[in-house]
Amino acid sequence: MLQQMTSGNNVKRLVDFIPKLIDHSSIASGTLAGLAMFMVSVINTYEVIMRRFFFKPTTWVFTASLFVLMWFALMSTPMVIKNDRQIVADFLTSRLSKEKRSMLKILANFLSIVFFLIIGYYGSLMCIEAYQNNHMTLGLFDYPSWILYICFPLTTALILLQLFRSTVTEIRNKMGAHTDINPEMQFRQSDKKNITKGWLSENLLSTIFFLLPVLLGVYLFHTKPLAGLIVMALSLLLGGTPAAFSLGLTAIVGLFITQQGFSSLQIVPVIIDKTFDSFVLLAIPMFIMGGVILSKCGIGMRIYDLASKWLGSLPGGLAMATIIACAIVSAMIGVSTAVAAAIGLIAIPQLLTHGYKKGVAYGSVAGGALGILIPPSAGLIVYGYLTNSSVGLLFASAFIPAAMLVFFFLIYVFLISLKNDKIERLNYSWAEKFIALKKSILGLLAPVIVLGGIYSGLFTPTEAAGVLVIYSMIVALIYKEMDFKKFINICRESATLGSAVMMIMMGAMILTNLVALLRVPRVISEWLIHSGISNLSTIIALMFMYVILGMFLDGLAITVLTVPVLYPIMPILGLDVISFGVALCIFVEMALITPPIGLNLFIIKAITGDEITPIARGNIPFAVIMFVAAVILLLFPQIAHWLPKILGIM
Amino acid sequence: SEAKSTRKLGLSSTLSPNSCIEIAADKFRDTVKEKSDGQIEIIRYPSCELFDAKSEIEAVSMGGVDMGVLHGAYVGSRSAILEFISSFGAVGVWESYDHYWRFIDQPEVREFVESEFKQKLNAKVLGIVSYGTSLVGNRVRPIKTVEDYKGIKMRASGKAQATLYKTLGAIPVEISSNEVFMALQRGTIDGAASGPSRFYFSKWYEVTPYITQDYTVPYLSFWLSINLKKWNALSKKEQEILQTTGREIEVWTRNYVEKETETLYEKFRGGLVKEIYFMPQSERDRIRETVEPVMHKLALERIGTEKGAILWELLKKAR
Ligand code: NA
Ligand code: NA
Repeated sequence: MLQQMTSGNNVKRLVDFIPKLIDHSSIASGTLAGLAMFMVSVINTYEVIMRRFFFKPTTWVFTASLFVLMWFALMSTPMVIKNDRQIVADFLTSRLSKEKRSMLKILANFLSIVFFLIIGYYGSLMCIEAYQNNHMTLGLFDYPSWILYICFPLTTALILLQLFRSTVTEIRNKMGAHTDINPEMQFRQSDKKNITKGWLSENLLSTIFFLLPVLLGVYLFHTKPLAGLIVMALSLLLGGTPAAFSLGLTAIVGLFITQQGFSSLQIVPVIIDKTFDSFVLLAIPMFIMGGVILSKCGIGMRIYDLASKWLGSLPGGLAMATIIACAIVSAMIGVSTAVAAAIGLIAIPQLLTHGYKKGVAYGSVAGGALGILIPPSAGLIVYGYLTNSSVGLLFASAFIPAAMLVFFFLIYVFLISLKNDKIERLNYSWAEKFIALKKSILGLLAPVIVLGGIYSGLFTPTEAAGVLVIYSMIVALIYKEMDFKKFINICRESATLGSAVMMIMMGAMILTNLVALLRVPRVISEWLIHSGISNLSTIIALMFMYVILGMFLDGLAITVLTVPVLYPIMPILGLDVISFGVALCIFVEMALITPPIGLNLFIIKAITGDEITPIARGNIPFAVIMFVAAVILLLFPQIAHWLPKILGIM
Repeated sequence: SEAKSTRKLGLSSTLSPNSCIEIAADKFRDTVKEKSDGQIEIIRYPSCELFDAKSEIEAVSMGGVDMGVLHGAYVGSRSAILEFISSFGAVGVWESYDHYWRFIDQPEVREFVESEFKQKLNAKVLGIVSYGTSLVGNRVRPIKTVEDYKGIKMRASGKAQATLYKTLGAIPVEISSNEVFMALQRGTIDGAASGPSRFYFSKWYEVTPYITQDYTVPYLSFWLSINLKKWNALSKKEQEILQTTGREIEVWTRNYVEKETETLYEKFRGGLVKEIYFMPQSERDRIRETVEPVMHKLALERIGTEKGAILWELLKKAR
């Protein structure tokens, strides 16, 4: 009896211990991934120094960096899953009851498990094959491929455990919630039945609503593959499955049905390897890390302080200062949401206390945050990757259009402020102005170093990202804003943000492979040629498609879904690849501020606690200005070409 | 009238549109269709539509796509013997197109190819397709002698090329292919080697005012190949059609690249670059003499002494 109880306790202890162990492993794995990416920044900076100043470039930095990228993406994923930080299109699911939502989450987790089982299984096969046949990598520093591919079995094991663990928790909560809410009714048989019935029907309903369109997609794959692809991908996305797994899973089902069953799934790890074997893509996690470091050491405050002291005395000066501050910080950070967060926290209260209307305050921050348009830009890196264009060229091309857009914003807030007589103008002494400049000079130097380094030939855009991380680190140390705990947090945050992007790239590339196998771009281009629709109407249709997609979907998802299809038909449409990429980034910026789903809107909501409606309303003029700027750019691509031509890189 | 095809095969390739390899692959498709009276339909996935150069190799060996025109350097990462036969492994030692072609036309070499592809790539080669020789483009100075290589930063892909540059006193640097143009333009690297069509179509000539043809470049060849399982599933007649067409394409590309190269040289001479320089035989011999012992040693090291020695003899025999 006693023995039984102890063993019972042991079992209970074990049951409690295992989930904790999984959680700790996931966090450890993610932290390690972030640390590894920091090391990649260190070695790339080392490479730049050795090449430029000692004429002794290494043979191993390139290889080692790419080796880390794939491990980084997959090793961070368990932590991303644990913390529920995947990129999800949740504007439909967020309106559902808690009960329905958690049921959908269980279903999404189940599908994610299937996805990673496939990756883990076929990835392990690839690893074993590489081991048995002594496959080597290609490069100045070559090593056996299995050392890279072994990340498939190792990381998917932890990912699967974490997914399993989070599913079990979700199910247990569900059961718990259902019994806890109505404890006193439990004894009454008939009521219990009713509750169970309600509970069952809620879950059954959401299951059916989720699975029906998904199954319709599966069915359509047999007859109309393209329709199947669209229906399945959209229903998974809108059903709350993380974007990365929605795309990847659709691709896997499509490959299975339209190609050769299980044997066509062998290609999945090959495509993942191909995705992460990219020195260009490597720039994204490092630019993200640099941005995280800079924003954690209060760079937003310093830059805003500078801009407001210098511009505060003009009509609408504080709003203009906000826009300028956003633009400057955008030149350090590769994603717009981080810019909005860094500036919004300081600027919005200031704007409101000095008499600005809510709309202008919200719009200047959310609209003004042009992190994706102003280089360095995660969006342009992804675009360069998808279209094989030089990232350096894309960065240079984005400058003038971005300046034009910022200028339009300034005119808008200036004009609208003329009508508002409540606005206070702020006058500062020259001493105060220069103190603000001194305090922010290290931050202002970051974009100068990054872009100056790229265009003087000191380093490539990817190496620039590494240099930015090291520079930001030095700035943080000088500002005394860094300690060990903060550093570990930065590593974790960067790993979370970076790997969420990398996972989407992975899912999208598998889907792109299916799209190519189904010859979708070719079908569309042939249809376009024969339909007699003019290029102009097609381009106009495209622009509206981007506006509508942008209302609901994440900018990265829009880019990876449309560019692989559009890129091959750009010559037919007479679109210039480079200026179109910049225009696309404007649409992505616009997606961030258009309702119902706009991440920058949500950030303002989180900062101010205001309703989403006034926030969205304040941003509409900014969205309209962006649309106009994108149209101007598509009509006059020369605007984008001007600077690259001056620099001689085009 | 169109006969209904009974056999569909996908053929992937990874080069820029209108390059020799892409044209050759289309030509292969058309000829096979014609010879089989429409029975064999080759579905083309051109210009990296499905895979890049590296993943295409995995794909063909796993059957993710039936056929591919595989990149010599990447195939070389699977087998040192194939790296050597594709000219990369002995880069700097070849004397001319004709020397290289005489080498690969030896039956012993083809036997090596057959068995290596079977073992290492689970595939069969239908033809060794020429892409032309590379040129060396340079932004600092014209390369006229061995000594001109001293101290310049050269983009290198693969160990063999890196070894060659080090032997010549140059500094090998690894740069991803997207960024080569800007790296050349901004001086992150000083020079890079690639086919004349790459220099022309990707406008590298704008940033490399000096172009040289010497020995330090591989004679780029691609492997038109088919997954072994797919091959074995074909009828004898179908196999024969693919095999003979593969050989025809092989010969066709050799003539085509020579013409294409001449046309492009004319364009470079016509003012696209400051100087296009053809290294005289005496200086070429100096380069070869400098690198030959090193490349010989590398070949033996990477392939193994026995087979390495055989291949090296075949290379010398073909001179
Ligand atoms: Na940016
Ligand atoms: Na939106």
